Amino acid sequence: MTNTNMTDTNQITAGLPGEAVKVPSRLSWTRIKDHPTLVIGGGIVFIMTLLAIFAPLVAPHDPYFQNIAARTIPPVWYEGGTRDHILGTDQLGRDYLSRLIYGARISLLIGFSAVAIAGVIGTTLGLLGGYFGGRVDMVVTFLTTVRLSLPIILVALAIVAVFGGSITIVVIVLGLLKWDRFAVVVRSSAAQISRLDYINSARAAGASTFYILTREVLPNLAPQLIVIATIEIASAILMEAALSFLGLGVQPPTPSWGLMISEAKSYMFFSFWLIAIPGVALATLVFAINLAGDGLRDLISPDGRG
Amino acid sequence: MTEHPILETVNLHRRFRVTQGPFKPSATLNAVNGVNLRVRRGETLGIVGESGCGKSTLAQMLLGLLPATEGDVLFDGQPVRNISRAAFARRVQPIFQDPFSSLNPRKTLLDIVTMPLRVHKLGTAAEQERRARQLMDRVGLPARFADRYPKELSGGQRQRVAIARALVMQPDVVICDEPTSALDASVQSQILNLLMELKADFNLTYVFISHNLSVVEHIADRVAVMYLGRVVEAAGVDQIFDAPQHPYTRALLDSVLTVAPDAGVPELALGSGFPNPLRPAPGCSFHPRCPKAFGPCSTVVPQPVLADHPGAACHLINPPMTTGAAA
Amino acid sequence: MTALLTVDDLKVDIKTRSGTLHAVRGLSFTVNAGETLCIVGESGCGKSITSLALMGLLPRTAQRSAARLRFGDTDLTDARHARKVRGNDMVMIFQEPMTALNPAFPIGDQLTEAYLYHKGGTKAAARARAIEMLDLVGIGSPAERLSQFPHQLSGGLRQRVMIAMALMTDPKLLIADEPTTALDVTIQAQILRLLRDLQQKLGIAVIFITHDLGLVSRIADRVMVMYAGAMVEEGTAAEIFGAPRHPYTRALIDCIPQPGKTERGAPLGTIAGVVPSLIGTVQGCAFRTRCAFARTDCAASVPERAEGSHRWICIHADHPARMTETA
Repeated sequence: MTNTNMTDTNQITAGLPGEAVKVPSRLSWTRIKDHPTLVIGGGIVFIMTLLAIFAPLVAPHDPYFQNIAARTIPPVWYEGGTRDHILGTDQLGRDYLSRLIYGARISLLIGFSAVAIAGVIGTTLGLLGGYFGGRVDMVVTFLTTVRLSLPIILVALAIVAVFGGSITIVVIVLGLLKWDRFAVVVRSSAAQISRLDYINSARAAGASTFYILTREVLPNLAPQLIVIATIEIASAILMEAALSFLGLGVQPPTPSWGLMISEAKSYMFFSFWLIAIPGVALATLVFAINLAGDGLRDLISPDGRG
Repeated sequence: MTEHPILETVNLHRRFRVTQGPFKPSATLNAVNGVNLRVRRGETLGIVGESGCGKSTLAQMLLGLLPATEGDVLFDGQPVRNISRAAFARRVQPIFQDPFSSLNPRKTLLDIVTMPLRVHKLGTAAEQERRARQLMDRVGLPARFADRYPKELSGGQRQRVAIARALVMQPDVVICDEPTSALDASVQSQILNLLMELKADFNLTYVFISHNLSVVEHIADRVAVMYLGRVVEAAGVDQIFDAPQHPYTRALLDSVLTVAPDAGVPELALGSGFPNPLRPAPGCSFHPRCPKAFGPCSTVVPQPVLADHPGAACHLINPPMTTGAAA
Repeated sequence: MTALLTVDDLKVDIKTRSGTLHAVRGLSFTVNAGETLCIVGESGCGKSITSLALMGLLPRTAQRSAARLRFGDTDLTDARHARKVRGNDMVMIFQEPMTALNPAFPIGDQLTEAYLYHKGGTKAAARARAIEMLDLVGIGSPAERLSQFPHQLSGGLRQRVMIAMALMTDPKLLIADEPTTALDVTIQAQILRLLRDLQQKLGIAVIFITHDLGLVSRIADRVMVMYAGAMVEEGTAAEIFGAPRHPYTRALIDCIPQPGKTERGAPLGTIAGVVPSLIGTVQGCAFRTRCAFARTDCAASVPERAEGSHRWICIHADHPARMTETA
């Protein structure tokens, strides 16, 4: 027999069509590179995040510096473009590349913070509802139903209209409204896991409910949480752009992609790039995040799809 | 003489409300219906019965995971509800049936085995690890397994991990709920041998719940037979298997397919209708299937089996009118 | 006797990430009309894959090859011919009747579906046949049962419905994959008796796949023991259980507690080690790494030995323990 170490007790017994044993928390590069969507999507998100973090070092100009003499210079590949402003300048003569890089900060900051808040709310509610069931679950289900009956964009519009637009307000509004998907998914998974015997073992060992929820149940929800988080981040970024476009999100002169699109709309027919560049950036980021989320789901899913 | 049984149930009941549909009234399921059992220190009490007889509900209650609707579980003479959850957990530990769902897939074996020690904050991290490694070695898991995940293990190896976890706090009693039912024969024998060795080494007391009568016969000192929430017969292993009294025990024993090439499939005199646990028959709930049922069986509930008194809850053994005064 | 099913050098290969898994490695056997062949082995030995391969129900990742695979005059390696036989002359029942029955349709529809496909005729005729079959498997008021859904039946009843469904087309061969494993022992005994009675009445051959040696000893005309995708021993039930020749067969029998033979509480027999991986080429005897009687030449090719109907594949001409006993 060619198996040299047949006595090795680690040999998987020849059972069902054997998939190589996968260990959940060891995500090696060899496995990641089998998922091109994850590599491409994750790579784009990673680069954009780096650019946003190091914006002051990367950006060629001050994004707020206005130069009326150099308004609406086209990007360098058009006639009349200059190497000094690679993506040209906007209607107030500000360097468009610099504004784009600083705008990535706003998009990513709002996307990640809002989803962090939403994730905490949704996961907590879902865990409680799923684990305890009964009345607790009825309350969680009710709250989720109430939340689902509120159209996010309209509620956001109303609140921003009352309290005024700022990054903080946008983050809080989105954070308080986007937890429903977390709650729904976590609730059903937690309910399933709570019936398994390793939870019973922990209870029989005298573990507190808090210990069981955080140390036994939650780690098993990591794959779902990562996937929902990517979807929600992408959607939060789009919503920020929409709110800013409507003038109810980030206020000028802060550079935000949605705001840049909004400000450029009156120049659409004269300086097309002003609207196209932030639009393409926004679409790329959202696409990349979704791509990465798909890849992560394939990578982590227990049936080893893909 | 005055020593308490280590675990005892007194008139233990557990009822569940079962909803039968949106417009139907909910029914009551008497999962455990007046069970009196005593587990003596150092013995193995086997509990056998078919699915739905309440043996798993009883296991949950013996572990303190499910409160009693009525009656009490006593540990060392103390009602369990008066003992703190943590103190009780250190004395009574479980081994469950399915080694695939009883281990957290996201934890290493070392994490799994040290979990009870961490919950109870017993010793330093290094001491916990030493203790866990010691036990893993004792149950036959190679040391290099410590950092592996349950997915990498076979069913038998997983069950060894579950055993190490149950023993890590040095409990007095281990409740084994079908611990070998999910395993192959060659693995089952290894686990049974291990359980028997550990019992002697650690002075353990076992409550061994199983539907496999051959296994219970092999490992138990005393046996209780359950049917629809009640103990219908309890006695020493020799008496149960060599001279069963209750017709149900007899039928159960007859249906065990031992290795006997010429014996063929046993003819059972049981009616084929399996009872609905939501609507058990009046009187003795076994009477519709009982080949020996007579007059009072359909109306009078037999005397329950008393703890510590070998016997059967059957009118054939204890005639209803003149209890205990058989001529 | 006429061979109903002839299997010659059956192989099943499954493609996995880490290589080709040889789930069935050159299996040859015959099934005669009206007899019961039990295929027995532990999980992963390839017994269930074998049954799926015979039925042509393997998953797409699995590849089947055989030198000969004939059912009567039909060549089963030809998919077009096989389709006419499958579900008609050759039928299968599964372990878990709840998942084998479609919960969305009444059992009447499911009973008549294959019959209408293979035998044609009117719906009324199919319905009459269904009622006849339900009656045959001992289900009371069969006409009313036709409109019931699977979840309204108990486990034992569902398995009876599965058997009735299998018998609709008047098959010659029934393949049963662990049909009683999910059932309680008393129900199991009843289902096994039913199968035996039907087999005698209708003259059906049965391939019964199970891990339960006790069950095998009670129902088998012939037994085939499988290990790691290959046959290790085949013979009549009396031969296999009375005088096992292969060390694996004997070790497996020693693992199970046998009332009356095994001393209560004594250590049970075990088989050291684990089943080898079947990925990559397997040479020599697959059991040699766990065998107490292995020799170095077990790694080379091992002869198939025969004594009348008793066949086994081992380097030893007889079981080594028996040779020393008789010497």
